[in-house]
Amino acid sequence: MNRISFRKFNLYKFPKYYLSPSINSNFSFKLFRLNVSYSTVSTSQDKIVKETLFNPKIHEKLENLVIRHSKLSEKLSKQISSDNPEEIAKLSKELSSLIEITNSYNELKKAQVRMRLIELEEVKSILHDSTTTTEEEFKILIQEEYQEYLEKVKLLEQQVIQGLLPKDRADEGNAIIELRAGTGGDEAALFVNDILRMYERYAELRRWKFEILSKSEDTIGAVKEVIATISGKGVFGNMKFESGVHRVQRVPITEKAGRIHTSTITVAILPVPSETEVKFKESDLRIDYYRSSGKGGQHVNTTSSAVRITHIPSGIVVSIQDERSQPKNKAKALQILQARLYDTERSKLHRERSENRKQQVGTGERSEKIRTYNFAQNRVTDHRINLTLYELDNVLNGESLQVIVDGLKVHNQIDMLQSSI
Amino acid sequence: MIKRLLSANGNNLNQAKQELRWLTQHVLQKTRKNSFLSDEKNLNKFEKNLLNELINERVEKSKPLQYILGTQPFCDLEIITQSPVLIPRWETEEWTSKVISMLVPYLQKRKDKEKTKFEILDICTGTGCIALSLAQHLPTNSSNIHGIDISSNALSLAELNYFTFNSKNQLKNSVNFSKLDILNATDNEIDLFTKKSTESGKGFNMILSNPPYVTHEEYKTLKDDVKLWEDKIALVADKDGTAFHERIAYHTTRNNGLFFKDNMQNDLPQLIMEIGGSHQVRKIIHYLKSCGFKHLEVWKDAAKKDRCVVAKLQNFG
Repeated sequence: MNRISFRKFNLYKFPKYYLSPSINSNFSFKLFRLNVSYSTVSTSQDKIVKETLFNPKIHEKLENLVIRHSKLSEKLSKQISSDNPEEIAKLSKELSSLIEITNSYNELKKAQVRMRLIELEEVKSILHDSTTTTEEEFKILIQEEYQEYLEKVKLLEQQVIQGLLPKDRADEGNAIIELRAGTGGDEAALFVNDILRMYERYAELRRWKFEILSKSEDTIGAVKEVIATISGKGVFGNMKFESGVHRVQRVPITEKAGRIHTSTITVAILPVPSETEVKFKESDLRIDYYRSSGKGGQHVNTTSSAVRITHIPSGIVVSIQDERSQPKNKAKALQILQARLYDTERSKLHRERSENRKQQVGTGERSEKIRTYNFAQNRVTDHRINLTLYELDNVLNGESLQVIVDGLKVHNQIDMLQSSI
Repeated sequence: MIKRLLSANGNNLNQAKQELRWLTQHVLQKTRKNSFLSDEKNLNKFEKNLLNELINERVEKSKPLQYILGTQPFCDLEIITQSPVLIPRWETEEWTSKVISMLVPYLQKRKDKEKTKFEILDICTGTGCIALSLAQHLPTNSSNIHGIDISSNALSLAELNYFTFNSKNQLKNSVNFSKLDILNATDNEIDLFTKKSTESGKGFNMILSNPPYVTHEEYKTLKDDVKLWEDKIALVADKDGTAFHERIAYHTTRNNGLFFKDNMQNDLPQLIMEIGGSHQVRKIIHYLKSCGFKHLEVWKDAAKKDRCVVAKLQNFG
């Protein structure tokens, strides 16, 4: 069957669909990708979302928001005629804060109804014995339509849940990532390099910019400590659950007897503050330069570009010596200092808040063992959500990391949602 | 190898490690450019020999690392360095970026109002690092930058740097280098240079300089990596190291001198000169005042040393 006749058929059978511009515009594109497959992992997450997030309590809350929204707009339309600008401003502010979530919720309800209808159509077409090619095509079409709505509902659910959750401004911004070798000596340092590459590759796949600020490398490939910035959209929101202790179990290349060793590294993810969020006085800083005791300037030809900055009130010390340019080292050190200060402030706030409610996917505890990379079993397990992927290579080359990140995000949402009701 | 490098680094282990890392990178860059070897972690015999040779130069011959590596980062440029032209210092880099951040907002506004370019003179330009960094960071086509030096070595290196960055499209403003002996040139020669070099023919809007300021006594105490490899005429000056500062101040302020006096619709300093430290401040400031500068300031570098004298002919507001 060629495309033209297919279209005609469609027009006949689904007049409403055809006239709806959004579906029409996707139509010709759809024909060329009939078999869309979904990864099993992400669908199991959908289940989590559906079953646990949309409980009656949440629905009740959302319905209340819708009612509040219509009441507010009613009130506002009455107020417009009266002359009370303050009251109007107050009402419209609350209204605009509700618009996004109520719109998504209403759309979600509509999409769910639409999906039911398609399900019915599908049942009908199955009951009919489909022998002709036309009916075969028709079935495929229904399935397509169904998939499309499934996607849409998924997206809208996400939007509604996002709207219910408290927002963290840092999520949208950049992050500084610090990796340090823990127990396990050289093997741990080698693993820092592997994890560094994983994040670098992951950033590349997400089209984020990855830039190493400081790296202490003893022999090539053995990295004791590395600090890097990742910049792009939503970096911190995705990376923040990576903080903690990562454990590796494998036979190190240095091991002659072939025994499996267990080593650990620590990962810290710090949000990068905007300039207004962290300010410190020049007088709070002590900046030390190596060999700065002499006359400086033309008198000496120093290659020492190391800079050490101490933030006196907090005692935080950052030293950088990677760049041959001293001003560049200073700029880098300040950048890291800023992020660390911001992070301490945030975790202080976080601790105060979480005294009242428990969160399972912690972003504060750096000492928590969060993930194991087991080479012999070709698996990566995240202990917080009990998720195991048997594709170690794909995780380490950054491709499957998003699966874990998404899992952690969903879990965190569940936690936050439950504690917010 | 680290042990051997220790002596060139005042026995600082971290610094020696860092130098070894830079030297190794340098060797690998040379030998493994586009090579299949790039994944190999250990150095091969040839690379080891090369590295050893460089360490020998560094340790036994006191050759500055910047001459071995052939470059020194300065602002955002990799300035090519060749003996005996003075290696750009971090102190100079620091105040140059300060000048840039002062000039950028002003020049962005000025560009829309005035058709003529902002003329900047860099005296004793050496590698050209100050002039070229300004050309890179100031708003596109907002300025004309001129660098002068007495040394042919310096001028040809400055030209080499200019062509290198220009071919990579890193420069947004024009730069010209010419030979001029600021200390001994007559008033007429200076006037002729000013007339030829500036668009208006009347003078420059800002004058910057990192002139020689080491005294004869100090020079005797300098380390070999400076004394044996860097040009003495780029380092040492008479009158306790202030001879150049005085001469520059004189030519800047005298009638029809280097500075374009009719054109001062801003609160920017007209003259910025690097100095050798607090011991020169009083003498230079005294002389600048006698030349007619009204508002004088001393900038400290990040190591808290007096590093620049900054002079304005008048005070706005």
